[in-house]
Parts: sequence; structure tokens; C-alpha cells
Amino acid sequence: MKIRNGFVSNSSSSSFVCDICNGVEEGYDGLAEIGMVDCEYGHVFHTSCAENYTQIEQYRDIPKDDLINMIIDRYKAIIAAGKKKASENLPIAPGEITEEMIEEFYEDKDHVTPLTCPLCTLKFIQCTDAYTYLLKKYNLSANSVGKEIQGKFSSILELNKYEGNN
Amino acid sequence: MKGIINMKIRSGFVSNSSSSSFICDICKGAEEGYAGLAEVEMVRCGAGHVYHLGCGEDYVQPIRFSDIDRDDLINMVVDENKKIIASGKKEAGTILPVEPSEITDDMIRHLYENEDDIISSSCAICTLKYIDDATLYQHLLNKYGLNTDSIESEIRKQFSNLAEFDGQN
Repeated sequence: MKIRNGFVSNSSSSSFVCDICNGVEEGYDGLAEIGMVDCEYGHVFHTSCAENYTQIEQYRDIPKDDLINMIIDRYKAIIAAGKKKASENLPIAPGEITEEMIEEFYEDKDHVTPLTCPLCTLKFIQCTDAYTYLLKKYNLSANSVGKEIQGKFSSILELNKYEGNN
Repeated sequence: MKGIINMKIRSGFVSNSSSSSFICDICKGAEEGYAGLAEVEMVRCGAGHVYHLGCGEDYVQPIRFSDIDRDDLINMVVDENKKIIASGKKEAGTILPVEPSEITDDMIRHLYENEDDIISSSCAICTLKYIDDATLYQHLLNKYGLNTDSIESEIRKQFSNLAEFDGQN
């Protein structure tokens, strides 16, 4: 999954697009301030939108020992996947996790834990993904579906009218 | 609906005291501007589709009001207003001129100075030159007599998470 690039910023504010409702919010100090969160794969959404699908969990909701194990598992997975940067020093034993690291996770209000993102867990499925699934299921190409629509309808008004009647 | 003379601003933007953000309906990229869409090289059609000029030009050449002859523009405004009234979408309190003589020079100048809007017949989305995934998806659902719930259940049965789904689609 890609980090979403749907935000803009100037010197004072940034705008974020919710991956669930597509609403836009503008904030000056991160996501939490505007009622949004993101996951480590870059999905950004309103906390309230996510809660329609799953109970989101933030790092500060996790007991210290569980958080330490989660951090270690995550770093081990990064190393196993060969995604560790040469300059990075990732702790992989409980004794290597400092109080400062824990504090940083507990102060983080912008992120949800990977297992509670409604998009990552398929609790919410974006129409782009469902469309991709149908293309594969029916062995179609995106080009052929587009051409089919263009051959039948001359405008989106006409298409919407037809689709609305079916 | 207010008609060509006073088209609606798209709701998919946010603004503070100094700037507004606009999301491109084609590439989904966002732009932030201080003085309308033209400043950030974006345009909007009468139906409210907003996109980068460059993204739209990949599909169709946009036509601004300033590209149209005065007489043709007057006829276009009148026709559009008649359609809005006939469809019952005229907003209460809005006056929509339906005779050429009711179109004032001020109205024409307002349209000619408008760099933000393009006419719907040159909108990449209205003309189906660009079709977004939501529209394509809806078309396939209708074509195969499916519904969103059943497809989503099917996906969830086959894949336990998005990473697994992405790996196989």
C-alpha cells in the first residue's frame, strides 16, 4: 500500500482527505486536532468514520508490556522483510526499548495500531478495490468497461439516469 | 441549482481565512489556493466536477465561457436556465433569465472574466471521457445484478486483510 499523497500544506495549515467519507479537513497541528487518525500504511480517516466499522485502538490504549511486545514484533517484521534502512538501529529485545520510546508512542495521538485500521482489515472496502476485484472475477479489463460505457452513453447524466433505473 | 450565471462552489473544499483546498476529481491530488481555481491551474464544470486543467486536457479540450461568441453564450445561458426551471431544480429566490434580452452586459462580462469554470459539454467527467472507479464499479454491479454488500462479503471471505488482497489483485 502506498502512503496517500492527498494532502496539501502551506506555512500554517495542512488539508487531509478522509479515505472513508472523502471529506476534507484542514488542521494546523496534526490529525488528532481535526478528529482524524492514520495507520502506518498511510490510510487517513476521521475517527468517527472508522468507528462505524471497527473499534480503533491507539498506542496509548495498550498496556506497557503489550506495547513493548508489539514494537519488537513490528521491528522484527521490518528486518525479516529486508526493509530496515542501513542507518536504522531497531531494538528487537524488550531490554532495548527505552522509556523515551514508550513515551513517544503514548504521546502519539495521530496514529492507530495496524490491526485496527478499517481499511487494512477490510472492514471498510474502497470502491476502487471492489472494482479491481470485479475486473479480475469477470476477467475484464478496465479499458473494456470504460469503452462499453462510452459506447452506450453520451454523458454522465444519461449514464446516471440509466443506472438509477436499474 | 443556480444556473450558469451563479454556479455552485463545489463542497469538496475547505477554507480558512486565507486559503482554500481543492481536490482533483481525476488524479485525486489536492491544491491549495488563495484566489480561486484558476490560480492553482484547476477548473470546475457546471455539475461541480473539479480537476486540474492538465488532467482534464488528457481527455478533452476544456472550453471556458470566454472562448464562446457572445450570441452563442447568451443562447447557452438561456437554454441552461430553461433546463433548470423545467427540471424543478431552480433554487428559491434565484432569478434565472430565460430570454436573450434579459441577459445583461454585466452578466456577460461576469462570465467572460470567469477563469475558474468550463462548460459542461467540455468537462472530461460529464462527457464520460474520464470515468472514475466509483462509476465503473457501479456499472459492473448493475450489469451483473450484484450489490455492494455481497461483493464485500465475498472479498472478506477470500482475504483476511488488504495486504493479502493487494498481493493477489
